[in-house]
Amino acid sequence: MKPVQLLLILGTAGVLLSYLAFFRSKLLDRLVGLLLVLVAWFSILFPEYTTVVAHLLGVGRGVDLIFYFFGLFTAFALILLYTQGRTHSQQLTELIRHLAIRDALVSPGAREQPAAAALPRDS
Amino acid sequence: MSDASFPAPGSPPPQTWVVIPAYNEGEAIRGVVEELLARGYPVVVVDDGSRVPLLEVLRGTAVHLLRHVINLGQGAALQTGIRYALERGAEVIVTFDADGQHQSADIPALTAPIRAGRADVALGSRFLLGGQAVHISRSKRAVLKLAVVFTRWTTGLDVTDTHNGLRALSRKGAQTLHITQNGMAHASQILQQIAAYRLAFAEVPVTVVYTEYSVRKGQRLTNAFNILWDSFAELFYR
Repeated sequence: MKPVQLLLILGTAGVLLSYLAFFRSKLLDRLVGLLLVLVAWFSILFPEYTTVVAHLLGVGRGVDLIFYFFGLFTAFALILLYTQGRTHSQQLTELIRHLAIRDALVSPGAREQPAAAALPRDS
Repeated sequence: MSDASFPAPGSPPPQTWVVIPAYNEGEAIRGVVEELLARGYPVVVVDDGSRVPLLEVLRGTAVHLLRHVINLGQGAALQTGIRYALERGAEVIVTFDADGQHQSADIPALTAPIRAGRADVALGSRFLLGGQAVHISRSKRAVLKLAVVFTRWTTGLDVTDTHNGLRALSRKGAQTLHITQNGMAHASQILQQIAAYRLAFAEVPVTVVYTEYSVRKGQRLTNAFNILWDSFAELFYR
């Protein structure tokens, strides 16, 4: 085994373990994660097979195929994160709005409606 | 002074509330608030997380003071103030800038179409015949005109001024609009929603005075690009 293979396998194992440990995700998600890591290990240990798949898809080298998919995956993940961030900011907005309305300071004498006193006296 | 915002004696006064979004306002807001109070309007100030809480500046004024504990943006502050006014039973809601560039004397004419039941949204226009933009810079006028062309094209609304903070809403209009653009793109969003929900709207000529303070407090023209981007991004969150 080449040193780089060992590094990559240890790295992916670390990612998988932290995913399983830190995220209380659904069983299906965990299985998908596990499957992805198994595929990763297989392509790390037998890189020549990625080239076979690449040829099937019309790409010259397995490394290139993985690179393309990496780009696609990253873009997808970014959009997912952006959407999540937006959802969170909307929730935060609602929370802050709720607090602002709940804790409104109404000065003594603040009007609830246009006061009759503002009407001209002679009318 | 006769104030046309109030109907003839005998009929109950319309519940016209004024909502002012404010962020880091110093000099001008107190005068703005006092003038509105003197005209008899209930005033809601939404302090959008100012560094120095506006409570200090506004102490002693008879306002409803709301505070966002975190700065969210003018759109969010408007929506908060509008919801509060609705909860308090407002029949007509006027949105008003904190920096002193709007004239409280314009409110009666602005709310007239609402009170008459002819419109659910009345938009103040500084470019309509009879309206005025005092001391406006040439570049600002150009960018605003460009925004008008863009808005006419995207919403199909026949408007002459798109980014004026002086507006009036009927209760129905206020309940229908829901501003989710926390930043400055809310102005475009309001117009988009007027078009989408087919709200009856009217434009009313108003005067906007660009004081040295309001220009300094106001937006940079380059922010137009951010607004465009926010509006564009919104398309993907329907």
